[in-house]
Amino acid sequence: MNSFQDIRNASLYEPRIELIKKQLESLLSMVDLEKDGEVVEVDGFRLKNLKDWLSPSACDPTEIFGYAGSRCNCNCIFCCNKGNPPSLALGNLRRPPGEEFEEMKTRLDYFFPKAESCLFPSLGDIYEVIIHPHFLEVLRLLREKSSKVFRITTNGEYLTPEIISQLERLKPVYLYLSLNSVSPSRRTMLMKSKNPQVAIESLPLLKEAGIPYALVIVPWPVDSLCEMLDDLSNTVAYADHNDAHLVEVNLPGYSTYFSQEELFDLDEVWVKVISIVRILRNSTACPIVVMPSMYEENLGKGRKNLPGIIGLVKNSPAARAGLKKGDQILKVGSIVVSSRPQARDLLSVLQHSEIGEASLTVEREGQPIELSVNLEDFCYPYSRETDHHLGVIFRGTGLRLSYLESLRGVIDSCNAKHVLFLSSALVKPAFEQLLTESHLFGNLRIDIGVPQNSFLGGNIFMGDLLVVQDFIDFIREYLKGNGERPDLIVIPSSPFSLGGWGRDITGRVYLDIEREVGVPVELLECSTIFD
Amino acid sequence: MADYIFRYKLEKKTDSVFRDPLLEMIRAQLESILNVVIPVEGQREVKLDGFKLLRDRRTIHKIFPQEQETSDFFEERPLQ
Repeated sequence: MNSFQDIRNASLYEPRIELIKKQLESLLSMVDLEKDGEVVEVDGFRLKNLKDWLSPSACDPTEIFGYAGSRCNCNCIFCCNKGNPPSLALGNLRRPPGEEFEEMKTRLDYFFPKAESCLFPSLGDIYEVIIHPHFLEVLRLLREKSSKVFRITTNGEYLTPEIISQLERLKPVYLYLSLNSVSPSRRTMLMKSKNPQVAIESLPLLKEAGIPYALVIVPWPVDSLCEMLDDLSNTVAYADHNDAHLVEVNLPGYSTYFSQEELFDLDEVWVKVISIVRILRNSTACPIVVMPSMYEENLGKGRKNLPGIIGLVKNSPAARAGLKKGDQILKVGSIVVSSRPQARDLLSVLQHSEIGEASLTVEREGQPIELSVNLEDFCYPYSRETDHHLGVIFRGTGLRLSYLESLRGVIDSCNAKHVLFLSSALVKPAFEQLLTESHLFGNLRIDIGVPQNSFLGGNIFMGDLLVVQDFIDFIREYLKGNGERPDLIVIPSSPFSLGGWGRDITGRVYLDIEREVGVPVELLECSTIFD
Repeated sequence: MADYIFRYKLEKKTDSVFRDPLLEMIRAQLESILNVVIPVEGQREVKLDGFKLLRDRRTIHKIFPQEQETSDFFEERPLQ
């Protein structure tokens, strides 16, 4: 018999299962069920017709092969999964690989990319997918149903020539390769890697196979900051030498469940890493992104949300057309560009269009320059399938101006005059800038609050990781300290967007916030900022 | 080939708010439902926080165990 599924996970992605569970438990507290005159002891339930449990989905391939990632063959000293609170709804079921394979095959049977529907997800934390004994078989079955890019995150321990050759046959494939260090001894120390050479030597093999990859580094300040920064420079140089598509530097952080003691001064480490990255950007052709990108943007006092180019994918149409780091996009074709999300959207449309050539106007050293981009002129590591913006790399997604119009709509629908808007330390500066420049809110009072990540604790300060209780705690303190109660609280929807049912990462519904604090709460629809 | 079976475990109910088990059964079911749906009347969203039994219309029972600081937010609001 199969294992039981995790009900907390179901409460996040398909809370109607939690509803059924609670109704059954409630009924069974009052009655016994019978069969043929005998009491039947019931201790569980199962879904009847799986086709009744389809839900709308973009049908990303990870929704199938992600279930292969229940184990890991490394033990990274910075692994964020070690800092997960026990009440997180994203826990991982540990089941025999054969059972996981059965679930993946059934999920594939109900995976309908054309109809954009599939079984509701129940993914928890994803560890290393490539070590799953049925991983490649799942990818082969998946390729029969989907032509989308397989975006695979891996620590590279199994990226042998044989595995790379198998992946080559399944293209388009894009890897997020967590190399972390080009030094075998440091990689072993950071990741408890058993065979660091395999991952290190995979870079030229990936290039040979035509599989683009992002090289991922978590600069963890172990030993000394100097050693860490030297290693970062060496690893970036190695990635550049091997034509990495880009380097992704994930700034380190940890929850209180990871460590109750302060492990390092976050601002000191993050600022030093960014300083080195800025130097490296001048000496390497490979683009380097730092995540969360808004932290880097907030270090400067200049305007936020601008469409500035921080890097160009090697051999991309944009790089070959002569665009440069530091250019600011002014126009795409004849359309004047005013913000980063707008520039990204327009370039994305071009990327997916059939046209062969486009003009881009950029500002360089104070002068406008018009460049002609040949969309057919590219080679590895750029590809039409795996890239998004013709090879232009920006400092993150940015904030959409349309969010302000939506905010005004929400406020009007509630007839509110005094609004408390809950943001995050990272987003607040850009949001304030947009608000100041907007003419939509003249007669309204809008206070901006930044709740703390008390649930995760440690040095985490991401808005999308806030939970219902964090919002309740902040609002209660705000109400105590302010004479006037707001008549509306608006919260971005992204902390509650995982399953589309308004749940936070513990599975708790956002409606509990207004039930607890007594002020109407509305969500402002917005996308999760992943970078 | 048979589908993989998605199974979920049932547990003994322990989180009662009311002592009366039949009342608690109704409260718990309403609470669960209101965490999944938003009731409406016509085009207007309705925020519920309690219920009455048809045989006793004088007594209001709360649905949610939390203590609300005010109750005036449970007015109806128009749908967008």
